Amino acid sequence: MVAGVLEVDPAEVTDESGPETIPTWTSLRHLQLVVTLEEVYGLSFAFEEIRDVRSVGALRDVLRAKGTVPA
Amino acid sequence: MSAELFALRSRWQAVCRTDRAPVLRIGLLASYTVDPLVPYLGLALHDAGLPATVDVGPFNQVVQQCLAGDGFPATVRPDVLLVAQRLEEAGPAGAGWVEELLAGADAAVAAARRQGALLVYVLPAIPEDRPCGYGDAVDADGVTAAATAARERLRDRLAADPGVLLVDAEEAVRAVGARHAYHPALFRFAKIPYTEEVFAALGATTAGLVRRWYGAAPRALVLDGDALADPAALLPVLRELRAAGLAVTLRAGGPGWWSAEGCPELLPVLDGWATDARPLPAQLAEIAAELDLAPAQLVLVTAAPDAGPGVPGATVRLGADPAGWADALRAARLTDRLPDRRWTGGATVATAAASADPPAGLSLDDFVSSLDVRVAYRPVTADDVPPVAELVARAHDFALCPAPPAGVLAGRAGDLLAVEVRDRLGDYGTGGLVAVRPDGDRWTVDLFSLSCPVLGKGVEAAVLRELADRAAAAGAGEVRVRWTDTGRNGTAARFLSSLDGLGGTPVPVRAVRVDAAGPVAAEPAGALE
Repeated sequence: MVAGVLEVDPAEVTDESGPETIPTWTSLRHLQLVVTLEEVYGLSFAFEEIRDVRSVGALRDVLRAKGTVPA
Repeated sequence: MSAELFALRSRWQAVCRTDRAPVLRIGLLASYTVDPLVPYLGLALHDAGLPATVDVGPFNQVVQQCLAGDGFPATVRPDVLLVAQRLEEAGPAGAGWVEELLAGADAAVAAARRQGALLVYVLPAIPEDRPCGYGDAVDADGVTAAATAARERLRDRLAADPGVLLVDAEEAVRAVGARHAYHPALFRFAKIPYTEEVFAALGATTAGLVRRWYGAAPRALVLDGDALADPAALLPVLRELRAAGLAVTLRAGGPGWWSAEGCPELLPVLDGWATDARPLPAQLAEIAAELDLAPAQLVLVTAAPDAGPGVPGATVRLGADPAGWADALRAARLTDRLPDRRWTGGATVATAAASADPPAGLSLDDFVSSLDVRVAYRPVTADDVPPVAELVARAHDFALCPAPPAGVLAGRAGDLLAVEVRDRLGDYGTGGLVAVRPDGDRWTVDLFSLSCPVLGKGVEAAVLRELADRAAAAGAGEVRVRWTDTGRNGTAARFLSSLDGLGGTPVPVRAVRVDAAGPVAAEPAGALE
């Protein structure tokens, strides 16, 4: 899902991936990623979470804290 | 974003990677971040046989970009210029909305005519923020009343113009439902006012109109006989569509289809068929040729969930239950059309709007002056550093260098000035950051970032004039602005390239381009010269 939103090869995406390592991870795509995750997992990110999440691993942590277990 | 929309976006990405040959150039100019429209509009046009490139212009500079000789329409030279303004960016609710939006619409009409482009103007949705809430409905001067008045003035102004098509954002919001049309984080962080669902609806509507403008409207149905086990369920609606001017045809994978139940009743409504073992695209090509149509003017009607990809034209999927087929086919809006006057070619109606000149009395300088832009400056404290660092990190278009880390900014907080901006349309708060290093007779500006909402208002020049005044008062003889090409700061580069035009400052202001791989602000003064 992350790779699809960011338009990159899934093999390029790791837990350490973030705006600094994926050039297409712009602020716009960041929001689209968050909104997509909200839709898919049926949950909401707080403003602070949207602002502070800076990597795939951090996204996974937020999802896990909200009771979901992303693959 | 639903799985369905995610699939559409993914398919648009795949389309963009193909070696396609665009036949249209689309330019999008909006008072908000309109980028999410690109995949839905681009894909819908692609599926309609009108592959297009889609460019997005600067955020919230509709009038400025349309009036400037080197603005977005003049630079992109689009075949179709889509302009979208929101009432929320047009100042306080009231009669002033009409004037603000008409100024933008007039500028857009003029810009489109200068480029020979079709203008697609998006009528603004009625704002959701209504101070009286339910009471707004009984307030003759309320948000809904003011918005409705502004919308109808725009429609009255533009609907008669043969070079303009109107799309209604309110219809898109209504189709999605207000509860699903907005996401607060999208607007707070990226000035995106609507959800993907709304942009998808706007894209589909816009593509449908553009398609009809270019004469590529659906002209014939192709029933997918292999997937429609009970075609008789469609007979009433097929007769309606045929009476409305659509041809009805059928394809199937072999001649055995004709022995199926329901076929005898279907035969009289068919204008042609291809029932053989050839691949679907070959069958469609033959049907199009027989009807003297382009393949993109065919619409495949099927109940198969995966039929259609790779087929020119649109596909209407009816679902698994034949009882719902007729309603689904009616809902596909295949007989939507433009009013007859739209087909005049746009050259026979002489109105004031037909002029390619800007509206009388409206120039770029006049417009910017009319904004009554006020710029104020305040020192940055240690507590202010995180938010201004966030602003600098996001200000890609107008920046002198790659964004320095927050730690670097914190280390030189004493050099920083926050730029506060407001105009008659609103208060933008902290819209920029500038840093100066006094160095003997020279003041060096090595950090100057402005956020998109304050661009196009003359703020950049106002800031440098202020610095020149301060430098002169401090006894300095020059202000030097050091910048580097970040690959994304074209707006800053264009402004700095024309600094000679600043004029009238008490000390000279010069721009010096330096080549740097790292953040300029992280380097010691003078290290990059």
